[in-house]
Amino acid sequence: MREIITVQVGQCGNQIGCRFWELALKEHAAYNTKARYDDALSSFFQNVDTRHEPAIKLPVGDGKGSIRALKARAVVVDMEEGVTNELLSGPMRDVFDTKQFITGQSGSGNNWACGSHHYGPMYRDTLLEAVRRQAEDADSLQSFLLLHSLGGGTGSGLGSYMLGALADEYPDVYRFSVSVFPSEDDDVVTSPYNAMLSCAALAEHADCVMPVENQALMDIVTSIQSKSLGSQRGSSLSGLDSGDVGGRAGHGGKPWDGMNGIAANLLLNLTAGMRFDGSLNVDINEITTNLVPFPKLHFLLSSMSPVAVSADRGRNIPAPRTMDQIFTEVFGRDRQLASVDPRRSTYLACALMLRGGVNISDANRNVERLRRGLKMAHWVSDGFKVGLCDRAPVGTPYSALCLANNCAMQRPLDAMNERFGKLRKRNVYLHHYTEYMDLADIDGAAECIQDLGAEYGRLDIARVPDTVPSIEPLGIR
Amino acid sequence: MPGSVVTVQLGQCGNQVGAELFDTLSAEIDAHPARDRAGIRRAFFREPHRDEHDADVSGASTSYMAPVARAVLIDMEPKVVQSSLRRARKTGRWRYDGDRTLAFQSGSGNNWARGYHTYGDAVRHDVLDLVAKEAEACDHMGGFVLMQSMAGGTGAGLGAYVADALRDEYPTSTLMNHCVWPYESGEVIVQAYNTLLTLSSLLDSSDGVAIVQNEELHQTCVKLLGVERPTFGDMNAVAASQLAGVLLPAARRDPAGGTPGGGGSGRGLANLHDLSMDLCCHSKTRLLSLRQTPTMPPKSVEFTTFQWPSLLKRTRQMLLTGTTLEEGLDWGLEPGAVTGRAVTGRVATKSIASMLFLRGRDADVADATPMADPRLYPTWSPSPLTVAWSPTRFNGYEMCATTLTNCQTSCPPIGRMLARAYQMRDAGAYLHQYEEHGVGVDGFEEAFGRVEDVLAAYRTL
Repeated sequence: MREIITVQVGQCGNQIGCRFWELALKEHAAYNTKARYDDALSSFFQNVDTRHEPAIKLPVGDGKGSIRALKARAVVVDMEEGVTNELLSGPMRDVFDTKQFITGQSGSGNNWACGSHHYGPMYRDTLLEAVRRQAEDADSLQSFLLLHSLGGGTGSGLGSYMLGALADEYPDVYRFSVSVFPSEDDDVVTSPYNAMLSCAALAEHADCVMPVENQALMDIVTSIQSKSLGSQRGSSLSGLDSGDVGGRAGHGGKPWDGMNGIAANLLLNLTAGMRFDGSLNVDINEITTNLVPFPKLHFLLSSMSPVAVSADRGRNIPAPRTMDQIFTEVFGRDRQLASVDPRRSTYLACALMLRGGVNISDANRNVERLRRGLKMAHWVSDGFKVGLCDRAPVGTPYSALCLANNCAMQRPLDAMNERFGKLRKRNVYLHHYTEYMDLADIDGAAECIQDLGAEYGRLDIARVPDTVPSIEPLGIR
Repeated sequence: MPGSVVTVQLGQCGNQVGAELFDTLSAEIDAHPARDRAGIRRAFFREPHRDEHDADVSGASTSYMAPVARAVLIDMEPKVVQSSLRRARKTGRWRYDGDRTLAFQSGSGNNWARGYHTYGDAVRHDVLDLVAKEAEACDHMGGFVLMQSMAGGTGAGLGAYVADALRDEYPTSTLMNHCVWPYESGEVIVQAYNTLLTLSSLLDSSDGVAIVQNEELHQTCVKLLGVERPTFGDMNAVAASQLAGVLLPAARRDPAGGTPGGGGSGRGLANLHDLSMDLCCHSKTRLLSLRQTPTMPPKSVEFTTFQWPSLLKRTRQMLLTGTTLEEGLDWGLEPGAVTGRAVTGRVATKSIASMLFLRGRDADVADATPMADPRLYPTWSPSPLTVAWSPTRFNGYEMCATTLTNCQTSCPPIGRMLARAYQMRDAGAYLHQYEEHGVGVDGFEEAFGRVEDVLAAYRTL
């Protein structure tokens, strides 16, 4: 009865969303063997009786009612019909209702300004109406989850607009986003503008942003595939060229599937603590309190071990050999969902969301073991938030999700700034944007990202002050 | 006439420890002679009414008739309260009243300010209503025990608010807080702020704040109980056993062994009021610590010979060295060892007052005078040692000593927590989140100042 509404915008957001719903159903199916519509299930799904028109909504009640038809608590947005049509004809079609879909015909032309300033106001009422329908069906709405990419036009532009609109209309509901940052070699020429503008909107309107980079996901998928290939052939990894993953469609499906599966898995691990029982629950609002020490610095680097689940299309994921290994892995470079190395920068805060047979002693032992290798900001030497959830991801004995507010975030922000600067200096493509918005707003966004990067940089090198003022005893009053 | 105790369980930790406490109490009550059980049980449980509404137990006739814990369960998320109800029902020996629960759909998010200010006012009426119902169900209400953690938002923030509200509503009732101090390695990143805000607030409203450190519970499980990877359940069981050792009935006697007023059966009930009167006579010094000895794995019990002198000697040394862990004790430390400070760095911990609960064989005559050593207490302390006894064995041990002491034990961890809070405040970290819910710079300064006051007061012992 504590619900999350997922808002998936644009092609990329919808692809991640599609995998997410599939995996969410599988996870709940595995733990909900009596097919009852319970509190856990109600976080993401509504239960409806579709034999009636309009369908009758079945509340959770005592948690013992049986499942009729599950409908995703989602709003599906795209300005072209391709991906959403795929959703409606794909295996997940039953969890959606066409009323949840908001589609245009012509796309946003990879233009943030078109998505945000043109389609935004144009679709505002329709979008908010779709959200309102979902929100009304929710008993106690906890959070919106925005799935989108920053490089294109719809997910980035209209996604940004939605975030602002949600902040206006639902100021008390948390806004989390999984945002796919464009890679260096992104083939959308205007992506530097789009990324910059949407990132500034995320800094302004989101409560927490979990950046995901395609390249990092690709690297993970490649390493998993080569490991499972390697074990099949009994050969080492060296014989495989990671570059041809895209072409190897016959093995383990398209890489996008695996990549989107990883992002989807992040969402499941993030919300496990509020859906299932555990000895140390973590609510979604505890994440914002613990991990955001300063306003706007709410970009959380995520890493997972195991990084995907075996429920994911029967893929054989090499499981970590020991429990301690999952802790080691989430602090390593290879399991990061963004191309950064947090070990080389300062941790401002860190959350470990553990699932399965991991208890508080295991968590403390490993934090103790690993923290020496981490740079913690001097004012948070004890800067770990721990969550313990009883239910592991399907098919694994235990798992860890690490969310880190780390100064390594400076690197992608600076890179974004630099790529933007190159285009802005020569004013290329700029007129596509000024058609919809003021130049001052574009530069304002750039300034915001610059400041954000600089702030992370400042905190990274901040030294322990010689003296910290304390307070004198007040004495008898 | 002794009174009943109403507990209020707040937040996930408070609810977990609370369930463990009632489990322990219910088991210990059964260890008493049959003729005493009903009387003792009345202190912590009430009898179920047939017409009582409890949807959770429909059909389950045995648990339906089980005694009902005198408890109010509060959490901001329903999962924890629900699992407490389930857990109690499963025992078949006792249960909670499903109508004495209050759960909300949105947690306090580990933010003390949010728990105290934002949710406090919103739930005041409902909380007081539930507590009033439970209090009215007592023939004689002896006081409240609030169970909470200090690190989070609900147990800490809302817990502090509820303590204030109860103080307003029941100005003369005894209010004791059982507070779990977080692992110093960190469970919640903002725990330095939360613990200090909680502490500062409780010092106003509570008659005694018993601080139980997770770190020491953990070590107790590992070193004394032989649990390699303790869970919260293991640790909570230790905490519950300590608290039960204090709350269960015991009769007063002289430290040397005589019984004042002549002949007692050791079956009187301890009164929460005594705890506050004897231990916490000054408003600035209300920090309590719990100690219990022995603590050992059940399978070792039958191979162990218990003797009061050795148990009390260990208890006394734990007190002296300021630890609640009965392991690796520093036997070289003498009472009043201040002079040796420069050489060894060790200072004997001072106590304002102690209550000693002796349970088991010969508990009426065991010599407790070593605990009354005047060097353990400041000269001005009005009644440094209170001894109570019961002939009933506790926790399966032939003899068991539990102490509740007002002492300096919690000061070092509080001092370390303050140092961390100052660092965070100096860096400006997280302040905006507290500001948003009504705790600004002034609020922090006042809280920190009060806690400094308390530390200063304990330093002068």
